[in-house]
Amino acid sequence: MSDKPRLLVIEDGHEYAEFARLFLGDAYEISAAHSAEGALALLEAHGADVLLVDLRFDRAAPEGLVGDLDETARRLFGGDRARALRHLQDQQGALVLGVLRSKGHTQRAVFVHDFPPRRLENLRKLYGDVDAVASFDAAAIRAALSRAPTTGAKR
Amino acid sequence: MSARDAERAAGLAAALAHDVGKYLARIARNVPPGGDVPPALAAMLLADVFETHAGRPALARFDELAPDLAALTHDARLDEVRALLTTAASHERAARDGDPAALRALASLALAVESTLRALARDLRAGARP
Repeated sequence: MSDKPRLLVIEDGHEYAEFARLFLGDAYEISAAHSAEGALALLEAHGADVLLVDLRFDRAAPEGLVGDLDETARRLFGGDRARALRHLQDQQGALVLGVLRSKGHTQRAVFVHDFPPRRLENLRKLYGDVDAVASFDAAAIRAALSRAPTTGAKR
Repeated sequence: MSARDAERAAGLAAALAHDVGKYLARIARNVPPGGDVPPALAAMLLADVFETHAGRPALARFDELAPDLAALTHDARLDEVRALLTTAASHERAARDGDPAALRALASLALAVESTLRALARDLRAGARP
Protein backbone atom coordinates (compact mmCIF):
# COMPACT_ATOMS: atom_id res chain seq x y z
CA MET A 1 0.00 0.00 0.00
CA SER A 2 1.42 3.39 -1.03
CA ASP A 3 1.75 6.31 1.37
CA LYS A 4 0.88 8.73 -1.40
CA PRO A 5 -2.45 10.57 -1.26
CA ARG A 6 -5.19 9.00 -3.35
CA LEU A 7 -6.54 10.71 -6.45
CA LEU A 8 -9.80 9.44 -7.90
CA VAL A 9 -10.36 10.33 -11.56
CA ILE A 10 -13.97 10.41 -12.74
CA GLU A 11 -14.49 10.54 -16.50
CA ASP A 12 -16.34 8.85 -19.35
CA GLY A 13 -13.18 7.92 -21.26
CA HIS A 14 -9.57 7.17 -20.37
CA GLU A 15 -7.78 10.43 -21.15
CA TYR A 16 -7.83 11.94 -17.66
CA ALA A 17 -6.56 8.77 -16.00
CA GLU A 18 -3.84 8.37 -18.60
CA PHE A 19 -2.82 11.98 -18.07
CA ALA A 20 -2.91 11.63 -14.28
CA ARG A 21 -0.77 8.49 -14.27
CA LEU A 22 1.79 10.18 -16.51
CA PHE A 23 1.99 13.62 -14.94
CA LEU A 24 0.68 13.19 -11.38
CA GLY A 25 1.58 9.58 -10.63
CA ASP A 26 4.71 10.59 -8.72
CA ALA A 27 2.58 12.41 -6.15
CA TYR A 28 -0.70 10.48 -6.12
CA GLU A 29 -2.02 6.95 -6.10
CA ILE A 30 -4.38 7.05 -9.08
CA SER A 31 -7.67 5.22 -9.52
CA ALA A 32 -10.46 5.83 -12.02
CA ALA A 33 -14.24 5.54 -12.23
CA HIS A 34 -16.62 6.10 -15.13
CA SER A 35 -19.89 6.73 -13.34
CA ALA A 36 -21.31 7.94 -10.03
CA GLU A 37 -21.94 4.34 -9.03
CA GLY A 38 -18.35 3.35 -9.83
CA ALA A 39 -16.96 6.38 -8.01
CA LEU A 40 -19.03 5.63 -4.90
CA ALA A 41 -17.86 2.02 -4.91
CA LEU A 42 -14.20 3.06 -5.09
CA LEU A 43 -14.65 5.76 -2.45
CA GLU A 44 -16.32 3.34 -0.10
CA ALA A 45 -13.70 0.63 -0.71
CA HIS A 46 -10.51 2.70 -0.71
CA GLY A 47 -11.37 6.36 -0.06
CA ALA A 48 -9.72 9.25 -1.91
CA ASP A 49 -8.06 12.49 -0.88
CA VAL A 50 -8.88 14.45 -4.01
CA LEU A 51 -11.05 14.08 -7.11
CA LEU A 52 -10.20 14.99 -10.71
CA VAL A 53 -13.47 15.24 -12.60
CA ASP A 54 -14.40 15.51 -16.27
CA LEU A 55 -17.43 17.70 -16.84
CA ARG A 56 -18.77 16.43 -20.16
CA PHE A 57 -19.65 12.76 -20.49
CA ASP A 58 -20.64 12.81 -24.14
CA ARG A 59 -19.53 9.19 -24.68
CA ALA A 60 -21.48 7.74 -21.76
CA ALA A 61 -24.57 5.63 -22.37
CA PRO A 62 -27.79 7.46 -21.37
CA GLU A 63 -28.76 4.72 -18.93
CA GLY A 64 -25.55 5.24 -16.95
CA LEU A 65 -26.01 8.99 -16.47
CA VAL A 66 -27.03 10.73 -13.28
CA GLY A 67 -30.33 12.54 -13.90
CA ASP A 68 -33.78 11.59 -15.10
CA LEU A 69 -33.88 12.10 -18.86
CA ASP A 70 -37.68 12.33 -19.17
CA GLU A 71 -38.00 14.63 -16.19
CA THR A 72 -35.19 16.87 -17.48
CA ALA A 73 -36.81 16.97 -20.93
CA ARG A 74 -40.19 17.89 -19.46
CA ARG A 75 -38.90 20.42 -16.96
CA LEU A 76 -36.25 22.23 -19.00
CA PHE A 77 -36.71 21.49 -22.70
CA GLY A 78 -40.41 21.27 -23.47
CA GLY A 79 -40.24 17.49 -23.80
CA ASP A 80 -37.25 17.47 -26.17
CA ARG A 81 -35.34 14.34 -25.03
CA ALA A 82 -32.40 14.94 -27.39
CA ARG A 83 -31.69 18.34 -25.86
CA ALA A 84 -32.21 16.92 -22.39
CA LEU A 85 -29.68 14.16 -23.07
CA ARG A 86 -27.12 16.69 -24.31
CA HIS A 87 -27.72 18.73 -21.17
CA LEU A 88 -27.20 15.74 -18.87
CA GLN A 89 -24.07 14.71 -20.75
CA ASP A 90 -22.69 18.27 -20.75
CA GLN A 91 -23.17 18.63 -16.98
CA GLN A 92 -22.58 15.04 -15.92
CA GLY A 93 -19.37 15.63 -13.97
CA ALA A 94 -21.12 18.17 -11.75
CA LEU A 95 -24.11 15.84 -11.34
CA VAL A 96 -21.83 12.98 -10.33
CA LEU A 97 -20.12 15.27 -7.85
CA GLY A 98 -23.55 16.11 -6.42
CA VAL A 99 -24.19 12.42 -5.82
CA LEU A 100 -20.84 12.02 -4.06
CA ARG A 101 -21.46 15.09 -1.90
CA SER A 102 -24.89 13.75 -0.94
CA LYS A 103 -23.14 10.63 0.38
CA GLY A 104 -20.76 12.69 2.50
CA HIS A 105 -17.68 12.70 0.26
CA THR A 106 -16.44 16.26 0.67
CA GLN A 107 -12.87 16.10 -0.64
CA ARG A 108 -11.60 18.71 -3.09
CA ALA A 109 -12.83 18.25 -6.64
CA VAL A 110 -10.88 19.72 -9.56
CA PHE A 111 -12.40 20.04 -13.03
CA VAL A 112 -10.38 20.53 -16.20
CA HIS A 113 -12.78 22.99 -17.74
CA ASP A 114 -12.86 26.67 -18.67
CA PHE A 115 -15.70 27.76 -16.39
CA PRO A 116 -16.83 31.37 -16.34
CA PRO A 117 -16.11 32.81 -12.86
CA ARG A 118 -19.80 33.01 -11.97
CA ARG A 119 -20.34 29.35 -12.83
CA LEU A 120 -17.41 28.30 -10.69
CA GLU A 121 -18.81 30.32 -7.80
CA ASN A 122 -22.14 28.55 -8.22
CA LEU A 123 -20.44 25.17 -8.21
CA ARG A 124 -18.69 26.09 -4.98
CA LYS A 125 -21.98 27.14 -3.40
CA LEU A 126 -23.51 23.83 -4.40
CA TYR A 127 -20.61 21.45 -3.91
CA GLY A 128 -18.15 23.04 -1.51
CA ASP A 129 -14.47 22.58 -2.23
CA VAL A 130 -14.30 22.84 -6.01
CA ASP A 131 -11.61 24.24 -8.27
CA ALA A 132 -11.07 24.29 -12.02
CA VAL A 133 -8.17 24.50 -14.45
CA ALA A 134 -8.89 25.52 -18.04
CA SER A 135 -6.61 23.02 -19.77
CA PHE A 136 -4.55 19.87 -19.21
CA ASP A 137 -1.74 21.91 -17.67
CA ALA A 138 -0.05 19.47 -15.31
CA ALA A 139 1.56 22.12 -13.12
CA ALA A 140 -1.70 24.05 -12.76
CA ILE A 141 -3.67 20.88 -12.01
CA ARG A 142 -1.10 19.78 -9.44
CA ALA A 143 -1.39 23.20 -7.78
CA ALA A 144 -5.19 23.11 -7.81
CA LEU A 145 -5.25 19.64 -6.27
CA SER A 146 -3.00 20.65 -3.40
CA ARG A 147 -4.17 24.24 -2.79
CA ALA A 148 -5.86 25.19 0.47
CA PRO A 149 -9.66 24.79 0.41
CA THR A 150 -11.53 27.29 -1.73
CA THR A 151 -13.52 30.08 -0.10
CA GLY A 152 -16.82 28.86 1.24
CA ALA A 153 -15.77 25.25 0.95
CA LYS A 154 -17.72 22.79 3.05
CA ARG A 155 -15.16 20.54 4.63
CA MET B 1 -29.06 36.31 -33.98
CA SER B 2 -31.97 35.12 -31.84
CA ALA B 3 -31.38 34.17 -28.22
CA ARG B 4 -32.00 30.53 -29.12
CA ASP B 5 -29.41 30.69 -31.93
CA ALA B 6 -26.93 32.47 -29.66
CA GLU B 7 -27.36 29.72 -27.09
CA ARG B 8 -26.89 27.06 -29.75
CA ALA B 9 -23.80 28.81 -31.12
CA ALA B 10 -22.33 29.02 -27.62
CA GLY B 11 -23.02 25.30 -27.14
CA LEU B 12 -21.33 24.37 -30.41
CA ALA B 13 -18.32 26.53 -29.62
CA ALA B 14 -18.07 24.94 -26.17
CA ALA B 15 -18.18 21.50 -27.78
CA LEU B 16 -15.40 22.48 -30.20
CA ALA B 17 -13.27 23.84 -27.37
CA HIS B 18 -13.82 20.62 -25.41
CA ASP B 19 -13.85 17.86 -28.01
CA VAL B 20 -11.15 19.35 -30.24
CA GLY B 21 -9.13 21.96 -28.37
CA LYS B 22 -8.83 20.55 -24.88
CA TYR B 23 -7.98 16.98 -25.83
CA LEU B 24 -5.80 17.98 -28.77
CA ALA B 25 -3.53 19.94 -26.41
CA ARG B 26 -3.49 17.43 -23.54
CA ILE B 27 0.13 16.41 -24.05
CA ALA B 28 1.23 19.45 -26.07
CA ARG B 29 0.43 21.69 -23.10
CA ASN B 30 3.08 19.84 -21.06
CA VAL B 31 5.88 19.70 -23.61
CA PRO B 32 8.73 22.12 -22.79
CA PRO B 33 8.10 25.21 -24.97
CA GLY B 34 10.24 25.18 -28.09
CA GLY B 35 11.93 21.95 -27.07
CA ASP B 36 11.78 18.50 -28.58
CA VAL B 37 8.88 16.24 -27.68
CA PRO B 38 10.26 13.58 -25.32
CA PRO B 39 9.96 10.09 -26.84
CA ALA B 40 7.75 8.97 -23.96
CA LEU B 41 5.21 11.64 -24.93
CA ALA B 42 5.39 11.33 -28.71
CA ALA B 43 2.91 8.46 -29.04
CA MET B 44 0.42 10.21 -26.77
CA LEU B 45 0.80 13.47 -28.67
CA LEU B 46 0.07 11.62 -31.91
CA ALA B 47 -3.00 10.03 -30.32
CA ASP B 48 -4.21 13.44 -29.10
CA VAL B 49 -4.01 14.87 -32.62
CA PHE B 50 -5.03 11.91 -34.76
CA GLU B 51 -7.32 9.92 -32.44
CA THR B 52 -8.77 12.91 -30.65
CA HIS B 53 -12.45 12.07 -30.46
CA ALA B 54 -13.82 8.53 -30.52
CA GLY B 55 -10.61 7.39 -32.19
CA ARG B 56 -10.87 9.88 -35.03
CA PRO B 57 -8.65 12.89 -35.82
CA ALA B 58 -9.31 16.34 -34.43
CA LEU B 59 -9.99 17.53 -37.97
CA ALA B 60 -12.83 15.02 -38.38
CA ARG B 61 -14.53 16.16 -35.17
CA PHE B 62 -13.98 19.79 -36.14
CA ASP B 63 -15.67 19.15 -39.48
CA GLU B 64 -18.67 17.63 -37.70
CA LEU B 65 -19.25 20.62 -35.46
CA ALA B 66 -17.92 23.68 -37.28
CA PRO B 67 -20.37 23.84 -40.23
CA ASP B 68 -23.36 24.15 -37.89
CA LEU B 69 -21.59 26.91 -35.99
CA ALA B 70 -20.57 28.67 -39.21
CA ALA B 71 -24.21 28.64 -40.30
CA LEU B 72 -25.10 30.57 -37.17
CA THR B 73 -22.24 33.02 -37.03
CA HIS B 74 -19.40 33.88 -39.38
CA ASP B 75 -16.16 33.91 -37.44
CA ALA B 76 -12.80 33.88 -39.19
CA ARG B 77 -11.35 31.84 -36.34
CA LEU B 78 -13.16 28.78 -37.66
CA ASP B 79 -11.26 29.07 -40.94
CA GLU B 80 -8.06 29.70 -39.02
CA VAL B 81 -8.50 26.57 -36.91
CA ARG B 82 -9.33 24.44 -39.92
CA ALA B 83 -6.13 25.64 -41.58
CA LEU B 84 -4.13 24.77 -38.45
CA LEU B 85 -5.66 21.30 -38.32
CA THR B 86 -5.00 20.75 -42.02
CA THR B 87 -1.38 21.73 -41.47
CA ALA B 88 -1.21 19.28 -38.57
CA ALA B 89 -2.52 16.53 -40.84
CA SER B 90 0.26 17.30 -43.31
CA HIS B 91 2.82 16.52 -40.58
CA GLU B 92 1.33 13.15 -39.67
CA ARG B 93 3.61 10.88 -41.66
CA ALA B 94 6.83 12.61 -40.56
CA ALA B 95 5.65 12.79 -36.96
CA ARG B 96 4.81 9.08 -36.94
CA ASP B 97 8.32 8.46 -38.26
CA GLY B 98 9.64 10.30 -35.22
CA ASP B 99 10.83 13.45 -36.95
CA PRO B 100 11.54 15.93 -34.11
CA ALA B 101 10.60 18.99 -36.19
CA ALA B 102 7.24 17.47 -37.16
CA LEU B 103 6.50 16.54 -33.54
CA ARG B 104 7.40 20.05 -32.40
CA ALA B 105 5.15 21.47 -35.10
CA LEU B 106 2.24 19.26 -33.97
CA ALA B 107 2.66 20.43 -30.38
CA SER B 108 2.75 24.06 -31.44
CA LEU B 109 -0.28 23.70 -33.73
CA ALA B 110 -2.23 21.92 -31.00
CA LEU B 111 -1.66 24.79 -28.58
CA ALA B 112 -2.71 27.32 -31.21
CA VAL B 113 -5.92 25.41 -31.91
CA GLU B 114 -6.74 25.11 -28.23
CA SER B 115 -6.22 28.78 -27.46
CA THR B 116 -8.18 29.91 -30.53
CA LEU B 117 -11.14 27.63 -29.82
CA ARG B 118 -11.16 28.57 -26.16
CA ALA B 119 -11.24 32.28 -27.05
CA LEU B 120 -14.06 31.63 -29.54
CA ALA B 121 -16.05 29.71 -26.92
CA ARG B 122 -15.59 32.47 -24.36
CA ASP B 123 -16.72 35.15 -26.82
CA LEU B 124 -19.82 33.26 -27.92
CA ARG B 125 -20.68 32.38 -24.33
CA ALA B 126 -20.51 36.09 -23.46
CA GLY B 127 -22.74 36.85 -26.44
CA ALA B 128 -25.32 34.28 -25.35
CA ARG B 129 -25.52 35.56 -21.78
CA PRO B 130 -28.93 37.09 -21.03
